[in-house]
Parts: sequence; C-alpha cells; structure tokens
Amino acid sequence: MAAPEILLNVVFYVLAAAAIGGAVAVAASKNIVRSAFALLAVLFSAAALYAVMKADFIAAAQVLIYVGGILVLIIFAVMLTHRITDVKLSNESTPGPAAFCACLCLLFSLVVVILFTAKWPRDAGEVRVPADGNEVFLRQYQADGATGLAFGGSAFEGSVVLSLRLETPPKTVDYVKFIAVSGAEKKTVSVPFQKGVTKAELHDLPEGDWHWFAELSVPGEDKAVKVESSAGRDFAVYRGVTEPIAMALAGPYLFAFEVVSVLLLAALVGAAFLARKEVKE
Amino acid sequence: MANVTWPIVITGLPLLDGFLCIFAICFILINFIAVYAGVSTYAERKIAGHMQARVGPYRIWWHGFGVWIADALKLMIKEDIIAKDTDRLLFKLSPYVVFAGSFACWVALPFIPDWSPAHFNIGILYLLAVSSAVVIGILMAGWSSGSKWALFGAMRSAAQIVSYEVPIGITLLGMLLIYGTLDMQEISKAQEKGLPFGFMADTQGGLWSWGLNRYGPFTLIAFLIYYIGALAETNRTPFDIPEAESELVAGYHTEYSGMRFSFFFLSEYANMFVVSAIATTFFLGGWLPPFPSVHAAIASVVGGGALAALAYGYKKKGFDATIGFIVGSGLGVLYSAFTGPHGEIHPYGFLAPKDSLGAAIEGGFWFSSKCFALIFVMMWLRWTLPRYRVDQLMDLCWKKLTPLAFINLLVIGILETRPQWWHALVEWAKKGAS
Repeated sequence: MAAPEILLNVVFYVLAAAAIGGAVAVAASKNIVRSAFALLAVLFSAAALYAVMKADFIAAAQVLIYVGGILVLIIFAVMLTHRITDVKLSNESTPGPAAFCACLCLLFSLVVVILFTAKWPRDAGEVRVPADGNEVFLRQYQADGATGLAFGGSAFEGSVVLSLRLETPPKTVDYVKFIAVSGAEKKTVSVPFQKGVTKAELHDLPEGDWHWFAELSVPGEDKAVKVESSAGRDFAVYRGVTEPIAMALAGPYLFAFEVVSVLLLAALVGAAFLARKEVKE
Repeated sequence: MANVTWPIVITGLPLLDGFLCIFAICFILINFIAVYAGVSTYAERKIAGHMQARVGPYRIWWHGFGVWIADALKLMIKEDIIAKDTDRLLFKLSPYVVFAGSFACWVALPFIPDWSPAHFNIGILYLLAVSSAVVIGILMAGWSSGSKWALFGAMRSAAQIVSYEVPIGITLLGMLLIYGTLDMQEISKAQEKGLPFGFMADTQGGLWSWGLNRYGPFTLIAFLIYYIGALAETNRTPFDIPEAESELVAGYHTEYSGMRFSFFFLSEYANMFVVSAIATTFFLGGWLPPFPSVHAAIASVVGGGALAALAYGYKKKGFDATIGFIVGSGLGVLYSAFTGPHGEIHPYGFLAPKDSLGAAIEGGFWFSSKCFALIFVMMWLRWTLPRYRVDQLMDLCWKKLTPLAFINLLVIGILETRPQWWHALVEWAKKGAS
C-alpha cells in the first residue's frame, strides 16, 4: 500500500471514531446542551467521511444543511428552553440496558441487510477519477446507469469513460467497439476485449444527452453482437458545475430535495415550539 | 479533491506529497493569518486615530508599527482565567471551533491564478458550508461562559449570522447564474472578457468585465447586498450588536482572556478576509488586473494623474484630487477597452506570461490588494456609522435586503437566460425614441 493510501485509511478510521464517539456523547451526556454540541462532532465527521470518499458536493451539502441549519436550530431551541440545564437525563423513560440491546439488534439487522442486499461496485476502476477531481462530482448521481449488463458512464468537461462488464460473454471476443450517439453526433472508439471490465474513453463530446452501446466483434462471425442499455439517456455532458446540480435537483432528486426542506421546516417548527414562552395558568 | 502540487514545484521534492504538503500549506496559511490579523489591528487603530483627528499608536518603532507584536506578546503571557460557573470543556473548546471554522475557509480561496491551497469544484458551496461552524463555536462560547452578557451576545450573534446568510446566499445565487460554475478559479476567469450587458464578449475589458459591472446597476446592487451582509456576518460595525461594548461588555467572549481571547480575535480578522475574498472573487475579478492591457494601464495612470492635478488646482472650489484620480483612471480604462486590443495581451495577468511565477505574484498582488481595500472600507465604516438596534437589524435583513435580493435574482436571471427579451425591449425603446 502506498503512503497516501495508508494515510487516507488512518484519516478514515479517525473520522469514523470521531463520528461514533460523538454519537455516544450525544446519547450518554447528562447535560442536554452538551448533547447538542456533541452532535457537531457527529455531523462534521460524517461530512468529512464523505469528503474522504471524494463526494465533495455531498460533504458540503451535509455541513450546509445539518450543521448550518438543523444543528443551529437545535442548539437555539435547547438554549432558549426554560431551565433546560436542570434536565439531567435526556431519555428518562428508556432503561439503559434495554435501549443498548435494542440498538445492538438494530445495528446487527442493518449489517445483515447491507451485507446481503447492497450491490457494491465490484471494480473501483469502473468510474474514472481524474487527477483534477472534476468527475468525482458527477459520480454521485450519474455513474449508475446499470441494466442487465454492467454499464458505467460519467461525463464531465466533454470526457467520458464507458465501461462494459459481460456477465455471460460469448466464447471469444476480439474487440469491443463503443459507440455514443447524441442527435447527429456520433463518436466511436474500439478497444481490445478485457476479461472483467472493458473500458474506453471518449473525448471532446459536445454538450447534450448521450446514448451509448457497444458492439462485440466475434471472430468468424460477420455480424457484431450489439450490447445495449435500455435507458434512453445514458449520460449527459455538461459544461460548468451548476447545471448538473440543478438538473439533478430538479430532475431525479426533486422529491429528496423537497423532503430535506420539510426536515428543515420541522426543525424550525420544533425550535419555535420550544422557544415559546411558558404560559402560567 | 485537493490540489496540493505547488510545494512540490517549489521544493522539487516529491516526498512532500500528501500529508507533509497539506501540513506545509496549513502552516504557511496559519502564520499568514496571524501576521495579517496583527497588522490589521495596527491598521485599525491607526485608521481610527486618523479618523478621529488623533495619531493612534506611535510609541514602538516607526509610527508605532511594532505595537501589534507587543500586543501579541501581551496576549500570550496573560493569565488564562476560567470563571467558576463555566462549563470547562466547552469553554476551552469553543475558541478552536470558531478559529477552525474561519481557517477552513482560507484553503478554498483563489489566491493566485489556477491554484488554491485546496482546489474544489464546489468552492463557494464549501465556503458557505464551513463558515457555519463559526456560529456553533460562538454559541458554544456564549453558553459555556456562564455569564449572561456572553449568552446574550452569542444569541444575538447567531441570530444575526443565520439571518444574514439568507440575503447573502440569494445574492451569490444570482451571480452564480451568470458564471455557471461554483469553482472559485473558474469564477475569476469568467470575469476576464466582455463589457457590461454582454457587449463585446471577446474583448478584455479590465475592470469593466468584472462581475460588479456585468449587468450594470443590478450586479452593483448584488455587490452592495453582499457587502452589507458580509459586515453583519463578521459582526462588524454597524452590525456589532453581538459585542456591543456599551450593552454587553464584550459579547460572547466577555469571559475569555489571554490566548483564548486572541483566537476569537484572529478568527474575526480571518473572517473579514474571507468575506472580502469572496466579494473580490464574485464581483471584483479575483486575481485579474483592473487594466485590460499595458496600454490601458498607462492610459489610466496618465488620465488619472491629469484629472487629479486638475482637481488639485481647483481644490478650493470643492474638487478632490482622489476622486479626480479615480474618475480619470476609470475613463482611461474605458477608453482603452473601447479602442480594442493593444499589443500582446496575456490571459491572466498583464505583465507576466501565463503560468509563470511572475503571473502568480501579479495575481496574488491584485487579489490581496482588492481584499485589503474592502477590509479598509470595513474599518472605515466602523469609525463612521453608529450601531444598529436589534430590531432595526432584523428589519433591514428580512424586510429590505431579502426582498431586494430576490428581485435582483429574478432580474439577473432574466437578463442572463433570456437576452432576447431585453434586446427586444431595447429595440422597442429605440423605435419609440426615433
């Protein structure tokens, strides 16, 4: 392992420990204001973990929404509530050992579910991460164009890496020809077939929605085997950064985006509720 | 994520990659912040002195320049007092949280062409995000102090910062419509060419190409909204109610002394630089020079000098040489922008060729001069304007700046995305006039 990789691992474990430690402090602290501040460690470490995984946008959004929005509101509410520091146990109704067991069970089931259902990217190289870090950004919502066969495409500044994994390939395949089409534009690149993942780069793509497919040339047969994804728009080429964000937020992620606003609204209502003056009757 | 190759270029040591590189850059930046904050306190006191017809600090070294070093030494050897009713853990932690929030912003600033300490393609989003840690730190400081002054100050400060983030965010959104990128370097580059309202899009216009002038009055309003919001975000006068001396002793850092206090102090000055740097990048062309070419520079200096001399001659009739120089320079740049390119124009810098050390120094010079000019205006305002009341402050933010920012966003959005509409309007007005 190279030195930077070791360093990255160390950073990852430190941040993971900080996140878990912060979470424990939130739950275990006798002082509810300290609990609220301990949340800062959790949220920031989570953001930093995203950054370690090269998801810059998600990291910034996490800090912006959770630290800048939710946490400030929570702290406001906690600090404005009358005699809040007199509360010495944040969750009086729950017996400690039972809660601990329940958490353990939930964690165990979560791990089981993840292990058996999650589809991990089997080859990290499927998505190209160039040195300038541009593509990192798009990976979060564009890498997954998978159908029956494994596809991966992400585009930025006119370059894209197309990758192909054949679950049941024909016996012999010489070359794979990648073809990308957008309106009248057509780009092709031919590369030798690789076991596992075959990858090819296309450069200088104009802006627009692109559809792509691959043709496998099998020796002895005239006709190439066509491998195609079912999605109409496989990847989009953008210039700049704001447009892909806008397209993602207003398109496939509109619902998630709105749900986040509801979350903020709920935090706001909660803060207003807690901060109201006690009416003595 | 982070582009940290520059120290390798300087030292030629590939071993410096990774951690050492990051460490070196952070070391340089933190020391720069310390020195910059120190010199700024000296400048602030000196400016305050001259604005009040005093001399300001004068004892140590030339014109009292050494006073900031003496101040720093004093803060370092002062007793660290922790009052009885404090929450000791949070009390000790909060200066670092506040400083970390300000310092984290520095790594994303576009100091020189094509290089930032950490190059993010989501630069401005990152800056807006990490600066929110400062609010948490201030609340932490106020609550843990166990003092009502500190708590009041912290609550006021947090309410103010959270409120003013709204007009600031909306204003920057309007500018982002124009630039189409969140990358601070790309935003700087986007202000290299074109005159206001999209005319002569391929001409280098110097300061006429800057974001400030892109859509005439509307981007100027955006700049003013941003700058007012920035003053509030950094708790500077006239929005210094979180640390109002006459009401709250010193606000959220009332109970702090010695080095812990100086961390808040450093953080305030670091924040001033950050907001000025964002204003510089979005509105004042970042590291781009104000002159489109060497000819323009000469024209503006000559024009400015001539008008300044003229104004000086008429001083008794109320003209000012400074205003004369500014107007003259502006006219000079405008003249040379309209008369086309002169000689060889280098992409990012008008004297040194692109990607050279000279271009880096030149870019750094323009960037920091613009930032320091904005910081100077902040200091100037501090000794000019009286403090707002809390209700006036909220009134200004929610009832005036926020609606104005929304209207401005709408106008800039229409101007940027539907140019045919206002082109038609211009044609129609021309027809009506003739």
